[in-house]
Formats: sequence, structure tokens, C-alpha cells
Amino acid sequence: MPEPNETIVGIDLGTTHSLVAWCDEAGPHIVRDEQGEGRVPSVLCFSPDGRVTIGWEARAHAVENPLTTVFSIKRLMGRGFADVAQSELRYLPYRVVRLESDTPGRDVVAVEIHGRSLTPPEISALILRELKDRAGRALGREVRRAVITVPAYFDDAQRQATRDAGRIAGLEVVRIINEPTAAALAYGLGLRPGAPPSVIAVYDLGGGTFDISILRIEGGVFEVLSTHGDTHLGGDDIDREIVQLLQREVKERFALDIDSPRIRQALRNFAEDLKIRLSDREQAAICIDLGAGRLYERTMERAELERLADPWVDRTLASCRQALRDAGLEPRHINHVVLVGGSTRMPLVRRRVQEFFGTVPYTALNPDEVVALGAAIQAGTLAGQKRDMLLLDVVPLSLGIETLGGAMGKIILRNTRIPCRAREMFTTFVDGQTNIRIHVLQGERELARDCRSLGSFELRGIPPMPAGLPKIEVEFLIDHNGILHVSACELRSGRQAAIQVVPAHGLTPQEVERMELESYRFARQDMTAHRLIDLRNQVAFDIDKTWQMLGKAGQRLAPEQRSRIEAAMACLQALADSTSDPDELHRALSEFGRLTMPLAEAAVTQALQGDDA
Amino acid sequence: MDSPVCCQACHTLYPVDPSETHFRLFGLPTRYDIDPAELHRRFLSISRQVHPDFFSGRQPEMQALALRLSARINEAYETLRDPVLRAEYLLEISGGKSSAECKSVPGCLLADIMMMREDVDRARSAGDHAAIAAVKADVEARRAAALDRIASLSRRLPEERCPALLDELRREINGMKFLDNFAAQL
Repeated sequence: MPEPNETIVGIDLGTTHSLVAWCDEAGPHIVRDEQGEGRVPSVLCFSPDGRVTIGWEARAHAVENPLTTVFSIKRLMGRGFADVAQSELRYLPYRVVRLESDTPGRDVVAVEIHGRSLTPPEISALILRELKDRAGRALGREVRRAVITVPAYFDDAQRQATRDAGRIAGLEVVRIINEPTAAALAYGLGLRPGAPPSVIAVYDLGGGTFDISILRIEGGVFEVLSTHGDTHLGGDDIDREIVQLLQREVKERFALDIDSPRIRQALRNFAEDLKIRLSDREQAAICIDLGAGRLYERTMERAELERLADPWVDRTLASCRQALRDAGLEPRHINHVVLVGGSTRMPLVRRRVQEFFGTVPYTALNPDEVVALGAAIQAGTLAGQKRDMLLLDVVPLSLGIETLGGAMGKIILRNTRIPCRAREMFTTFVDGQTNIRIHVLQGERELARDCRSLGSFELRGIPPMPAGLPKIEVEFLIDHNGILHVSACELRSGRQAAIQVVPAHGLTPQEVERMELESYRFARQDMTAHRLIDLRNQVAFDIDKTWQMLGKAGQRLAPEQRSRIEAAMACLQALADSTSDPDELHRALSEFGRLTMPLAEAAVTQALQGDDA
Repeated sequence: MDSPVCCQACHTLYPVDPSETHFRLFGLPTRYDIDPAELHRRFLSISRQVHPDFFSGRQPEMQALALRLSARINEAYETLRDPVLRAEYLLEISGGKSSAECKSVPGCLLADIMMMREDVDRARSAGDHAAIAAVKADVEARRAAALDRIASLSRRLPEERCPALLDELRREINGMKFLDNFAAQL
């Protein structure tokens, strides 16, 4: 049981970058590396020996390891292979497969690396563990609890996958909050006592997702009025447009197809850099050496990039229009616009958002960090049980069940305040029927097959009765994290019916538990690998130092002492090159330290006498 | 504020009896006319007392109770703030029929809607925007009139719960739903 006032961290688990932050009396703080950088690229590089590198280093080496570098894993969270195959597969250099499952009707996507299948929650868990460790080092004690942010438009399966990732990483996920809501918290709008109520729009365009939320803020209450978005629209899509343009032009000019996984990875990085350069400058030079004297050269004007990006920005504004309609508002009712996400640095995005809402957007906070800051503020509230702030959010997509004939019967409408619940009555169609199967859906479309399948469950143990007589009340409860809980009761017998929801694209609790255990093993291997590297570095350092001391003070030793040390150095080096047991190497290092003690003393004496020249 | 869900002094929650009405939850009199600003103020104030975020460190039973209470408060708020849902709720707690028990609508509303639908289809295929706008205006006028009738019937509840009044209100609310659906398709 954690202590009541133990620090809870706030984590922004992003498509391209992730951050961790924490909050104290002074306010929220981003955990930063030595260079002051808070962002950790959500990129992982897996080596054949089972080691994993996460962050800037993995990103830097992505081109060399296209098949073993995983990025944008957030796009695969809570989704099925069939679904991903249509939209994403062509653009991902790593291998995406269907997880082998013994459960019929389930379709879970996985990434295959070095012959091992890893699900998106397992991969996200590695990023979370890295953030957890960073925060632990910054705070000086282990972090066990976290608030994690998700796009407001994430459905139940995507939220569950995020929560599972937290569990696999050994974190208690105390709360999942929506990214735009977190951003609004970070701006602290409306927190001044007596401030008039204001209506704000949070426009969040990240690497892979887009969200728009309309909030009403008054006296510390952040009330979400509506939300809309697209979980597959972001800066990545604009990069992709640039990549396709380059590929097309190279093909036209040199009749050359540049589409191997490695080249695709290189072009992706190139396109992203180009886009960022064109945010500050009006034009940028492009020069790609294709080998064999083929040089692809051109300049790109900002206007040309904007023509490529414009249709994507149009799609975000269509979402904004829908969100306003759902809130019953017009653009002129919006008092402030807040920009979130790295892609809002593009001048085109700023210009068009400003035109649409007719107000200059807030950009005071770093758009990359604002979500993590908000998550930390909410974490601080949860840890300290403060009551000065309250988040009231909504469910982004309608929830329903498949009815006869394959239609979607909505039970909870989108933009309903959460927590919320709805009850539905079910009965049997056949005499003596003891089971009823129910298929749960999320989405706005009329037909079940056009909506996202969250899973199905069976009501079991219904007392045998004539058809139509049993009355089973099923309660659908969406909690404040936007996650669905289902329970059922047979009203005539008063018996709770047994329910096990089989997630369509998710993991069962048993799988999450197993993955958590496996991840500890993974982490231990990782730790062993880290220790070995550290110890090997120590060996190299000690041997180097010993050679230096021998050079300076070797004449003070007896010849057999000197030869024993030289032999020990060779022995230690050989062990460092061959062993995989850090404890053995540690013992050898300590022994070597004892053996070289006379030399170290001799070196000190030599230095004190000042005649080491 | 007078609400039966939470002790303000010790932040202990009480389970709400399922028979407790939405009005009583907010400490409001059982009647149709409501001041939306006052309702909203009360909603925020109760939410501050029962939202699960304020119970994250407490016992699991207390957390579960906070979740259920919050869901209940949200449901009550969504119902009371909408004039038609509020009327329908008042109708049901006054002993009126549910929409499943009585599906009839006022007079020749269904025939009118069918004719308006034909007008719109014709106007659409002819690209006649003025005609579509005219139908839209007609629907809006009918909705406004229906809402007026719903309000004046509801104001007589819960005291005058005679079957004729309850049935008439039921029909008006059913009719409003047909108009809403039709308006959404325009």
C-alpha cells in the first residue's frame, strides 16, 4: 500500500515523444536530462541479445536498424491487425503481425522483433519504465504511481491498452486523463479566484493524433463541453506527404525506386527535419546523394509544404466545427484558444486556427511539454487530495451494442459527462436458454460493422425459463477515466450474472499479469546488461590507470610484484571480454584492486616526493 | 447545500436510495421551472463533493461509491438541464406512461412530417435551397410551439396527475422526438 502522500508522476505517453513530470508546492516540474531536454523520443531499438535502447540514441540509429527500431507504437495501441493492415502497415518499416491467440474472435496486433512477438502495451511499457526510472532518479526514490494522458478521442480499447501498459511497467495508473484537458490545467486558466467563466478551445495536433476539446472553466472547475478528433491524424501524416513527394520526384528523375525499409526510415527523419526547418524559414535546400553520381537537389518553399499540409489542416478544422456544434456554440463564443503538440509550431497551423476561431492562440507554454505539466498538476491533486480543482470530462464516442440485424444500438451518446451509466434489459429467445451473447461497440455509425468492436461477453447462468421470461439488467458504467465496466443481474432470481468481457483488440487480465512478470525478467536482463557495461568500462579505466602508475612508479616495486600485476591485468581483461556474469567480474575487479594496492601506494609516495618528472 | 449524498464536514459519502428523485438530489423543489444557472451551480458544488478524483486514496468501497454517485449526479444533471428530458422525467415520476408503453403522437404530426420529408426530397433533387430553408423554418416553428405546450402541461405536475393530462404530455413529448429526428436529418 503506497503512502498517502507518495509522489504521483504525470506522464505524457506520446506518439513521437514522451515526457514525465511531477508536482510539488512550487508547481509542476518536467524531468530533464543533463542537456535540459525533457522529451524522450518514443523510439525503441532492440538488439539481438535482448537489450533495448530507448530515446534519442534509438532514434539516432533508426536508419541502421529499420527492422528492429519501433516508433509510433501509440498508433497501434488497442487496435486489431485487420484494422491496422489497411491504414498503417505500408508506412511502418518494422514487422507488424497478428498476435497468435487461443481466443476466437479476438484480433490483437503485435510487432515481431528477433522472432519474438511484442504487443503495443508491452512496447509502451518499456517507454513507461524508462520514464519511471528517470523520475525515480530525479526524485531520489522509486516511483510507483502515475497519471497517464491519452488523446481525448481514444476509445475504450485504446484507453485500456494504455492502462495495461502502465501495469506491465509496474505502475499503478491512478488516473487516465485526456491530453487537451491536461493542457488546459497547465495553463491554469480560470484559476484566479473570482475570474469570470471562460470558454476555451484546446487544439492539440501531435505526431500521430489530433484532438479538439471545448471547455468551460469557472472557479477551478474544468468542464469539458465536447470533444472531437482523429486518432490517426498528425504531423506524421505531413512527413509522409513529403516522403511521397521525394520518392515520386526521384523516380521521375532517376527512374529509381527508393522504398526499402532503411531508405523509408531515412526519408522519414529527413522529412521531419525539413518540415521543422520550414517552420522558421521561408525555404530550405534539399540534397540527397543517391550514389553512382546521382544527386537529387532542389529547394522547397514554405508555400509548397503548406500546400501538402493544407488538406490535413482542413480535416482538423472539420473536427473543430463538429466539436463546436456538439457544444452548441459558434467560433465567436470561444474566449481563448490553446495550442498543444509539436505540429502546432507550423505557421500554417497557427494561421488557420487563428482565422477559424478569430482569436490569437495561446502559445506561452512549450507545446511539447504542456500536456505533461497538466498531468503532473492532476497527479498532485490526486496525491494531496486537494479540492481546489476539478476535471469533468466526457466520453468521446457513443457506446452501444449490436442489435438484431447488425445495427448499432446506442446506449450512451458521445459527449455525455463521465462517469456515466446506462442500463439495458435483455431476455432470452428460446425456452430454457441460459446464455446470452452481447457485442459491445463504440462509434457513431449506423451499422455494427462500421463501428469499433470493444469486445463481447456472455451472460451465463441464467435460470432456465420459458423464452422471454428472464429479465436481465445489464449495467454499462463508464468511469472517470473513460473506461467501461459491465455488470449484470437477473432480476427474477436477483442473481448476479457472471460476465467476462473478451476484449476484441485487447489483453486479458491474465495476459497483463504474465507480461508484467516477463517485463521484470526483461528488466533484470537489462539491468545485468547495464551492470556489465559499467563494469567493463571500470575494467578498462583501472587497467589504463594501472599502466600509467606502472610507468610512473613501477621502479619502486619488486620485479615479481610487477609481473604479478601485469599477469593480473591480462587475466582481468580476458575475463571482461568473455564473461556475462557481472558478479564474477565485480569480484575480479575487487581482487585486482587489492592486488594493485602496493602499486597505488608507491604511486602516491612517488607523487608526494614530487620527482615524477 | 441540502443534498443527501455527502457529509460536507467529514467527506463521507452516503449511498443514494434508488427512489430518490433527481430534484431531491440537487435539493430542488419537484417542479418543471428551473433556473439553469442555479442548477449548474448546484451540480458543480455536489460534483466537488462526490467526484472519484477526491477519493483516489480511500478504501475501494468508497471509491466505488464515489463513482456510482458521480454517475448518478451526472445523469440527474443531464436530465434536468434539458427542458424535454426534464418534462419526460417529471411525467414518469408522476405516474405517466413510458415511451415504450405509449407510442402515439399528437394529431396528424406523422402525416405532416411525411409530407415535409417529400418536400425536402423534391427540393434537394431540384437544388432548391429556398424550399429546404422553408421546411427547416417550419420544423423549427413546430418545435418551438411543441416545447411551449410541453412546458405549460408540465407546470401542472406533479400536483394534477390526472390520466388525461399525463397522456397528453406523453404524446407531445413523443411528437417532439419525431421532430428532433427529422430536424437532425435536414
